[in-house]
Amino acid sequence: MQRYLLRRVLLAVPTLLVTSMILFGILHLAPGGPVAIYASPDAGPEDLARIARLLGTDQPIPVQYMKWLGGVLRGEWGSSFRYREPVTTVLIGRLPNTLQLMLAAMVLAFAVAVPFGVISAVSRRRWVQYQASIASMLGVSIPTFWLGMMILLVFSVRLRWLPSGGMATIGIDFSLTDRLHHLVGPAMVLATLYIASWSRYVRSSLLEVIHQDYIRTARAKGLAERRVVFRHALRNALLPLVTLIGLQAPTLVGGAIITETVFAWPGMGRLLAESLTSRDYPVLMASFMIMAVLTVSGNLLADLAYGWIDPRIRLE
Amino acid sequence: MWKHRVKLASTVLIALALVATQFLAPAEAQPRRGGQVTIGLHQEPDRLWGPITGLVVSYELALLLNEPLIKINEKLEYIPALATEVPTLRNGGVSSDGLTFTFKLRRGVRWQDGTPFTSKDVKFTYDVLMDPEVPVRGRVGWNQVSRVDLPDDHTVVFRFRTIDAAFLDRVATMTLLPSHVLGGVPAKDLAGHRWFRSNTPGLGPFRFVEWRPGSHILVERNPDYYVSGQPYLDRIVIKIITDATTLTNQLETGDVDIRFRMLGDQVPAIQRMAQIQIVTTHSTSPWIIWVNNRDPRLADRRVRLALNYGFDRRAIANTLLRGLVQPAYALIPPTSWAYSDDIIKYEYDPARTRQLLDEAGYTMGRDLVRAKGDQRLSFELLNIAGEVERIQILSYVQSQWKGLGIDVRIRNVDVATMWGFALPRGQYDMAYSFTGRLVDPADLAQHYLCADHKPTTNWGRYCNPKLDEILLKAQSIMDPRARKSLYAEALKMTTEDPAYVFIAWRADHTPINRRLQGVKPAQGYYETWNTAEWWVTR
Amino acid sequence: MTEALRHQPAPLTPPVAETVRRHPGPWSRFVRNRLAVSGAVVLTILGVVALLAPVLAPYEPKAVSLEILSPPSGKYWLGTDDVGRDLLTRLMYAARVSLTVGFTAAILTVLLAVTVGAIAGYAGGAVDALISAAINIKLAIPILPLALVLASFLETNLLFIVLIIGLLSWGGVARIIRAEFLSLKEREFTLAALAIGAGHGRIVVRHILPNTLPPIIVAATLQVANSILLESALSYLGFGIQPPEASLGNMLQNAQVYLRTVPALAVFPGALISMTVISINFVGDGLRDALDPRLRL
Repeated sequence: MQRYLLRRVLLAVPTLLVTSMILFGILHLAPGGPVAIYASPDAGPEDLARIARLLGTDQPIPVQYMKWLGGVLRGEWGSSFRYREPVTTVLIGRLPNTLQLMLAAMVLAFAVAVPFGVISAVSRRRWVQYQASIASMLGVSIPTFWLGMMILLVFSVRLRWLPSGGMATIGIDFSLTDRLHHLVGPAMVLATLYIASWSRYVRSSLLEVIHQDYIRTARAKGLAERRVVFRHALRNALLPLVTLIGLQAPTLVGGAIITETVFAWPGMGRLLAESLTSRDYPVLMASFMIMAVLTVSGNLLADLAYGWIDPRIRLE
Repeated sequence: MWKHRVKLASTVLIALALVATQFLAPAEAQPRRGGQVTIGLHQEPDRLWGPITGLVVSYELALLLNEPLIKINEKLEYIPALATEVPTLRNGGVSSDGLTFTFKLRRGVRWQDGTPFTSKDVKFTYDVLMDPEVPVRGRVGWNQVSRVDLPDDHTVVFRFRTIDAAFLDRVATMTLLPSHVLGGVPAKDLAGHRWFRSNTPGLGPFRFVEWRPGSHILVERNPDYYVSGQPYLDRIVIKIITDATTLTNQLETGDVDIRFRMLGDQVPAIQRMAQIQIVTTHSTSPWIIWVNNRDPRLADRRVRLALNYGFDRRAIANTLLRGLVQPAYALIPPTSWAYSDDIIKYEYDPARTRQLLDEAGYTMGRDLVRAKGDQRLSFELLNIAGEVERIQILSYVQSQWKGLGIDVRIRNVDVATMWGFALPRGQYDMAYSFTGRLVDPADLAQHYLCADHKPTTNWGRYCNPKLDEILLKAQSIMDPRARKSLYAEALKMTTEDPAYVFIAWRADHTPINRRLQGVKPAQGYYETWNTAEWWVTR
Repeated sequence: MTEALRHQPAPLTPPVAETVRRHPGPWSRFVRNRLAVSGAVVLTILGVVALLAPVLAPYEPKAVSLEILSPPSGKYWLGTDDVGRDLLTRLMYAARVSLTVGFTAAILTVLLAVTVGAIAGYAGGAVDALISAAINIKLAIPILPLALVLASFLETNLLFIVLIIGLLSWGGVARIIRAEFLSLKEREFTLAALAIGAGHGRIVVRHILPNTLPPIIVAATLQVANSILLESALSYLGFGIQPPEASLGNMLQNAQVYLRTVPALAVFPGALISMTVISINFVGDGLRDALDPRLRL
């Protein structure tokens, strides 16, 4: 087990290294570059050369990459072109906000997807199945920005039930109810992206488990159907879902770009979009790498969780 | 918005109060102390000092917290701020040769930490601006200053090598740096200093309280502001909301009281909100299609004329954009003192267009695109993806040209590609954008002078030595009447041999909640210029 | 001997097919699924309309007029947009573009994924390790942000949108295909084919690939829906198919500002996107259940 873990971690290093090279290369392929953003349009050639020198983009790309990598190995992510602050400072302002949103969305998606999946798996009435799958599918079939806009228009502008954006009421001290109130809208939108696929997983793995021997045994013993489903089948059926969540969690950060923009949520997604237009390479590279690390560790955690829940699986 | 080139002052403003009565009536109402206002910004500011930010939002925020020597009001007049008066030829502030500007500073002004404000701060600001280790975006104009003298603590004298007609515009956008705070900081660390993210201490009507990245910025009343009794408001919240529809929602719910520089496409939705009034100001920056004159097809004057006659500017202005904008034919706006009406105002004229293209030798091909030999009138047009209004105009022009045998394929690029690559290197056929402008018509030269004169923004690579002669002469004299007639001649020439295609003068809209009073949007300057005078009824 | 074997393929029949034979066939299972069938019907109608847009559409899709934002009338059945173009015409062409993006991007994704996954899974060893590493790297690169970077400096026409979506989405499917190949190549029928001297190419194409079809078909179906949604997300951020070319995504994005004044501009493209995506998902679900009820995807 420990060897397995060590091997996986060691394997992650080259993966991340190559990922960083590819991302760095793609960013720097773009014509124009950051100098165009950080110089005024009427700046002369001397001004352009000076700004390129101050940003460090006057050097060949491999040299820039090595400098970047050297910094990262020392724990220095450079300073944002746009804010002139250390990248870590910029990210610390945003990352926790996105994590809150992700967590809320995942909890919500889980809470909805599991019952939907169970209903569509065990119900013998077809119309119940249909309704469950239509409902779970509806969310994912609407473009995110559109769904967000509709929720805002209906629930905050018309009904005034929800705040019209942001993550807190400005000017009051932090309160949990206030934060939850602000979370409802964006978490709902983000959750819909996952409800359909998660409930589908629950359904198919539940169907598989139900046909296995120990469930038949349980039934034969005369246990109540509900008890069979929830105590025995569901626990095992949730296994693949755990894996899936581990794999999908990092995509929430990227998927949050639109949700955060629509709901004026001050998170990573918006920082990312804004850094793209302002060619803020240090911030972009750091955000991309955070997502890459999340993906790699999400994979690992999913595998570990698999082994932990199902002891039959040996990790080596 | 990055390309909102440092929105230097433009010439004249026409405030078209769409709901004029309520807006003008409160003139007799007494300003009331207290209260809070929320501004919705569509973009996050970065660093709060003009020379190192390219964002209008950063200027807007900086003017809440800090102050320049002079400002520009809603009538686009220069007004004194930290200077006691605006230097002019008449009051002796400007020397008769136009090469010396003297500013007298207000006495008794203190930075928000209590340190007195003196002429040393002005000199320090200039020194930082010219320091090669500071990432200043550009120094056009300032690099013509030969010396800055400080005869005493309250006098600053700028001496120039050549006349810089737009110098007062530059001064109006330059908030001052506290030498007692930043004086000891090494130049290369300067831009990263905390001061540029908070302007604490500043000289402005409000003090910085907090900045939650991506969410909001909070400022509170500066009790020591140099205008006694002002500002009226206790606090201003600046919310950052990047989605235009969400911003509109917040105006409706009252979560936001005002937003700036809104495009016409949001106007109909907001007009329905009873609690909001909209103030419209006509901009001096036009929608323009840059045309690469180096392209053999576009080098032909007749083809460029055909482009100008081949679409309906008036329909765009009056119908498509609901009369909220005015057609543009040349680079000096009708509201400028240097404007002349003796220009060609291209009417939509399909027959004329066809005739011009026939004369130039381009005949209609079977694919409905005109061609001369293997030279087809098929162009790539660069565009920055964006607002609905922008796309509306472009779709319309493209469709009308198409009917006349001019094929345009739209290619979307981002800001850096457009301004950092395609335009400066001349790697494009046509490009669609708007352009910011200076008050002074001297700005015209930068878009038209031949390459020998090193124009900075002649993206079309246009060259006409006769026009150069006039433009250079107009730049080198001070007498406004002589300059006006030279610019009239130049302007006429630019429509007879059009280097570019101008479409319409942009209009900016400012939606304001009726409870908020005293707002005077200054087109071409920054809408936060008079926040000290804002007040709320409840 | 070889002749005899060719006429007796029984030993080569995969176990999946055996189980299928005992139950109703995939086709009858599919047609009994009402959601899947209605999805297929809707998709067919949309497809036909999109295909015949140049014939059916009453106007030119890019022809502007000064009758802007006009309400539905005898002249314009659904009204006009903000440049005076006929909304119905635009919708037909937009469906055409969006379906093209969806299907071609899905085909591209699946072709890439199958090639990469098959090679890795069948070859095993160092090749597999290398390709698996590549897949992991690919998965570590976030799709939407990267699409934005690419779209910001590449041309955003139909071809490039398809390429961007296709090139960025193959990772997950490739992993599934690889796993399928890994297990199928150890199955008796593969080993038997090898024993009788069948070439690797023949084994992959004739024996293993047909058995991986169910997950491939399902993944491809869902990828069509994903591509349509991804295009509309790119449109929202300004980098999808660009006006005046119409896509459902950019029509919806453009309609945002008219949400309160001319809601029809947003309602129709929005409804079309949802209808298309939901139909595709139902068909995908139906196919999954029909091809292999216990298939996990």
